[in-house]
Amino acid sequence: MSNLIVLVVLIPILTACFLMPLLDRPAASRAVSIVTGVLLLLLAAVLLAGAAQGQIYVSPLGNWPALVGIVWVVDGLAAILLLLTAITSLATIVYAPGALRAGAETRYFYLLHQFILAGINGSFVTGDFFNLFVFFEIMLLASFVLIALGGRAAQMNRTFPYVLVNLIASALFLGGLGAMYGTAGTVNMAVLSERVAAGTLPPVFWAAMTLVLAVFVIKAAVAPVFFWLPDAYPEAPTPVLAFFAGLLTKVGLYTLFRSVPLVLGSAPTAFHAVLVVLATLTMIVGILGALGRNRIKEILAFQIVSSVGFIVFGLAVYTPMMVAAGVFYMVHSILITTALFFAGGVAERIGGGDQLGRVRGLARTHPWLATGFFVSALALAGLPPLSGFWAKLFLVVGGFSAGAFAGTATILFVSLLTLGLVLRLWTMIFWGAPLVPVDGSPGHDRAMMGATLTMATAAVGLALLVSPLWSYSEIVGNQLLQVRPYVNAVINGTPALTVPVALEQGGGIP
Amino acid sequence: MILLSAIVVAVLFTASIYLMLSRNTQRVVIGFIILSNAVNLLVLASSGAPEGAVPPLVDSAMVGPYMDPLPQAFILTAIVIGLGTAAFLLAMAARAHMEMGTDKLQDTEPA
Repeated sequence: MSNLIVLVVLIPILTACFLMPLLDRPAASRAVSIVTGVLLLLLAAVLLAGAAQGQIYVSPLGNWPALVGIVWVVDGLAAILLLLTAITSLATIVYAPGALRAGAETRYFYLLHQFILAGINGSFVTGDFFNLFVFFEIMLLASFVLIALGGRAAQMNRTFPYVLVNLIASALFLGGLGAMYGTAGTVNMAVLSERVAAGTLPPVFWAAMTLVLAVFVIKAAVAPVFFWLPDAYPEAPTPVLAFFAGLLTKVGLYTLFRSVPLVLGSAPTAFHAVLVVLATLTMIVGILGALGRNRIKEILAFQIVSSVGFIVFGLAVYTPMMVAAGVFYMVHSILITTALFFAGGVAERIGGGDQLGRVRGLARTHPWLATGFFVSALALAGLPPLSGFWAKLFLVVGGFSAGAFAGTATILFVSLLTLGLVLRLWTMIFWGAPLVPVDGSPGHDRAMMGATLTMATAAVGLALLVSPLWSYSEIVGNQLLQVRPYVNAVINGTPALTVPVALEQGGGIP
Repeated sequence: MILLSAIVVAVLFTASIYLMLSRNTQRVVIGFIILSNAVNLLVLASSGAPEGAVPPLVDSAMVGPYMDPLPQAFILTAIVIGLGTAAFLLAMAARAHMEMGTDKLQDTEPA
C-alpha cells in the first residue's frame, strides 16, 4: 500500500515519456494526458481515504535508513493536496486546447504539464529537504518554460525576473541545506525534528534554518517578497496561469505548513510573531494591488497574493484550530482560484484581450460563463453559504479566540474589499450592453466552458462538504502540530541504521 | 581552511550579486553561474567535517578518517541542476534578444 506513493511521481514522468513522440499530435497528447490524469485522481482518492483515518504512509526508497536515504511520506496534508492537484490538473488539460494558441503553445504544453505535475507531486510527498530541493528544480524548470510558452517579447521581459528570483531562492535553499547538514548531520525532516527536539544543535544550525524558512516565504509569495508573482503570471497562457495560480503558489505554502511545526516545535516562537505581521501585510498589499489594476489576469494574480496572506495567517497564529483553518482555506482557494482564472480566460478569448472594458454584457451573451463566474466570485468574497464564508469563519473564530485581534480584524476588512473587487469585475465584464452578438460569437468553446463550470461546481460543492472537510482539516491540523505522529511514522517505517563497531568507538553520529 | 573557504564564498557571492543587479541579460546569466558555484562551495565548506562527527557509513568497518560522502553527492546533484538551469537561462536570454532586439530588460508598465 505504501509503495503506491511512488506512482504519484512515476505516472507523470512515464506519461511525459509517452508524450514525447506525440509532440505534433496535440489531440492524442491530450487523450493520453486525460487517461493518466484519471489514474492519478483515483490514486490520490485511495491515499486520501487512508489518510482520513489518520493513516500515514511511508515509503523508504531503496529501503535505506531515514538518516541517509530518501523517504516519501503521505500524511493528511499531502493526501488532500495530491487529490486537489489531480483535480486541477485534469480540469486544466480539458480546458487547454481552446485557450492555447495553436502551434508554439500547444506543441509543448501537454509534455511540460506532466513534468510540472511530477515536480509538484514529488514536493508534496518527499520527507527529505534535499529531495525537496530537487523536486523544486524539476517544477521550476518546467514552470519557466510553460510561463514563457509562445515567447512574445513582453512575456520574455517579465518572465526573466521571475526565473531569476526563483533560481536565487533555490541557490539560497541549497546553501542553507549544506549548513543544515553540516550542523545537524541529516536533511531528513523527521530525523531533523528529533534532533531539534533534543536541543543540542549549535547556533549555526538556526542560521541555516532561517535561510531555508526565508526561501519558503519567498516561494509562498508572502509580502514583502511577493513581487515576482503578479508581475510574471499574467503573461502566461491562460491554462498555464490557471494551474499555476491554483496550485504552484500552494507548493510554497505547503513547505511552510510541513516544515515549521517539524522544526520549530508545537509552541509559537518569534518566527510566528514575524509571520503574523507578514501575513497581515500580504492580505492588504494583495487586495490593494488587485483593486489598482485593470487587466483581468493582473487583478486575479494580485488576488492570489491576498489569499496567500489568509493561509499563512492560519499557520502563523499556530493553534490547532487556526492551522486547520489554514488548510481548509487552502483547499477552498485552490478550487476557487482555478475556476476564476478559467472564467477570466474565456472572457479574454471573447474580448481578444484581458483589459477591463474589452468585453461587456457577457451575462446576456454567455449566461453559463456568467453563472460560473458569479458563484466562484461570491465564494471568493465569502458570502454564505459558499465555501469562502466557512473558510473565513473558521479563520476569524480561531483568530479571535487565539487573541490575534489585529490580524483577524484585517481579515474582515480585506474580505469587504474583496467583495468590492469581485463586484467591480462583475459589473465591468458581465453587465451593460453586450459588445458581441448573442449567437455565433467566440467563446462558446465546449471544453473551456465545461472545465470552468466543473471547477465552479466543485467550488460550490465544497459548501455541501463543509462538515467532513472541516473534520479532515482538524485531523491534518492536529497531525501537523503534534509532530510526533509524523516523526514516529517515518522512524518506524524505515529500517534502523546499523552502526559499525569502529564508528561507535569514534564518537557516534552527531 | 574554513576561513579561506568563507572568504572565497563571500567574494563569489559579492561578484554574482553585482552582476545580477544589471539589466543586461548576459551579465545576469554569468552572475547566476557564479552564484551556483559559490553555493556549491558553501555546501562543501559548511558540511565538510563537523566537530567530532563521522560519516554515516552503513555495514562497513572503518579503516581511516573519511570525508562524509553525502555533501559531495548533494553538490554533484546541484552541479547537474545548475548546468541545466544555466543552459536554459542562456537560451532564454538569446530568445529575449531576438524578440526585443536588445539584451537589456525593459521597465514594465502596468497596463
